[in-house]
Amino acid sequence: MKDVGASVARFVVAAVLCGFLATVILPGLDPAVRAARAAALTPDQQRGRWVYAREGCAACHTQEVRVVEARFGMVRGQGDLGEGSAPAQYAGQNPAFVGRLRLGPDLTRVAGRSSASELKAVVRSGKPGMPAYPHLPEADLDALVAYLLTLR
Amino acid sequence: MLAWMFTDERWSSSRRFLYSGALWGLAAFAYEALGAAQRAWPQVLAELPWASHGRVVAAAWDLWVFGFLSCLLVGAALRVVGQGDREGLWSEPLANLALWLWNVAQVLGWWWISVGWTRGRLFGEAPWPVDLLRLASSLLLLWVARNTLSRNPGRDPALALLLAGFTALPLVLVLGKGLFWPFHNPYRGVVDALAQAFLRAGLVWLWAVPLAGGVCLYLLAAHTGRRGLREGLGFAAVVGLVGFGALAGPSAFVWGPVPFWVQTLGTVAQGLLLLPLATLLTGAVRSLEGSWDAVREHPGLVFLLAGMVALWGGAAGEALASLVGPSRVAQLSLWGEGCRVLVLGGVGAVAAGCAYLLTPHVLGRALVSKGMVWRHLWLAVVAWAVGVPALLLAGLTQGAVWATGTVPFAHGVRAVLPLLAGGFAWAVLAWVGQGLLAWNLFLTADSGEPVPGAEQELAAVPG
Repeated sequence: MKDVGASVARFVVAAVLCGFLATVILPGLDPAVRAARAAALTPDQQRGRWVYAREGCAACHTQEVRVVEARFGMVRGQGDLGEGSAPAQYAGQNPAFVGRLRLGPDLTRVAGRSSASELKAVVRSGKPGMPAYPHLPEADLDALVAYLLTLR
Repeated sequence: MLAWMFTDERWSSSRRFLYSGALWGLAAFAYEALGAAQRAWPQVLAELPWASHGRVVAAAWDLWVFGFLSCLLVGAALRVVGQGDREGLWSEPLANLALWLWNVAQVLGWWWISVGWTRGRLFGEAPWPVDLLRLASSLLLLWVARNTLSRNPGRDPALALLLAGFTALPLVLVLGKGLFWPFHNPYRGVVDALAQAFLRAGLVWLWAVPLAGGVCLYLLAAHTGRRGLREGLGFAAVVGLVGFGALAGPSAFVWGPVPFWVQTLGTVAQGLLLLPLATLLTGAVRSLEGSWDAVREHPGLVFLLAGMVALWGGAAGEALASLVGPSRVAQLSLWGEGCRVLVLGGVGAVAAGCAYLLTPHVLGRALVSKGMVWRHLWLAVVAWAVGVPALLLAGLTQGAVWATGTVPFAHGVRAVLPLLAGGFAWAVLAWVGQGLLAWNLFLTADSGEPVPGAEQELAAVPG
């Protein structure tokens, strides 16, 4: 197994590195990705972003409007899902909250559909399909809402 | 104390990894059940910060992949890898060190995710100290496996799969989690989203599945005396699994905000993954040809076969969902959750089968209750039969609602709520089954009938 093992190991290293290069690094060199500029967030909005990450909101909410649902998808009103997501939307995000499962509505343009008081009430008290977060300190809740209001 | 922790007793690391996997599985499925309950009934434990749904989902994934699956599969893999050498593993103390590092990382990861200290990434949740511990452990495991296998002159695709898994994991961790920059996530924007997808694909197709495939093929051949795959085909499966698995991550972004060419690359790779997986499944079935009576005697063999079938089915579901047409309905929906249950549940079934089959070879005792194993198997079958169709149907329902463009999102949520109860039932049944596995294993360790020394050796795998 000695020679075979060395060959297997070399192949795996090469394959994984090539896979990473092809699926992570090279797309990052795409002009549309490189041209994007990060929007500046205030300290409160940054904190809200951190609350979003800490509470795992991305487990149920995407921030990704797919091309097939652009200007077509519906949350409350027809077409209110908005334009399709472009790489520029995620510029500078660390981490990027694209999401993978949509149990709750997509939040890409939530600020265009909901007011601060509505968002605060939903997060604090929940609604059918959405758990409540009564344990969130008021400052964290305000910061989270401040972050969500940047999504438009 | 140190002498006990880093003992050189033969198969001690393998045995301890199996115990660890049995216990972590209880925690993993408990969290899966809690998360599934919260999806169906969102107010469950909502007032507790550590039980908020996002943290539960993150902890469940971490426990399932790194705790339950990894520990059981590593325990089985170390036993198989060491079989070819009369001396056993190249270094039991180092393998034991890897075990303790892995378990410390698991405890810390579980605790820190629950209190809210995370990286905030969907599949790279645990904070960096946990990742560094896991990286150190995975490098030790690779070192031990590599040096053990180098003493064994055979050419076995099953062992090649195990070595591939041990080699890939450190790379996947470093690249997918950005551990070359341990204090901060080095990725930004779309690149971070793609890195997360690479991590997820890597943990499944480059770590869990190679280990599961390798131990499955080896143990089936050892029990039936028949190797199911010719050498050439077996090594082709290794190449395909690793080659396509490394490229499959971007299939999650069909119609999404990444360059079109990389979506296509991911989708094609996800589809081509079905070929090596089918090869492994065929190898498993062919190993059993002429030995179907053995299946009645050893329910662990059924776990191996059922696991490989479920794994292939889940992969097929994921490949289907990444195609341009079906993705309109299936992508981002609970269809993906159903496929996840099949893929990771399939790997879990293989891991459980390995634990049952290796009991006499690792613990030196005969399994106390085969009846309990059959009950576990039937629980798993019922769980899949109830949970998977419910989740797949829920996903299609969601997608159909979204595709109309005229139905409010909230209506779709209400429509799938009854089906989410099926997902909860799956998780509860799986948790009970895991309880049977853990109970059986510890009962065997405590009072199982000792097995003669000669029977503790795994039968030689025919060439």
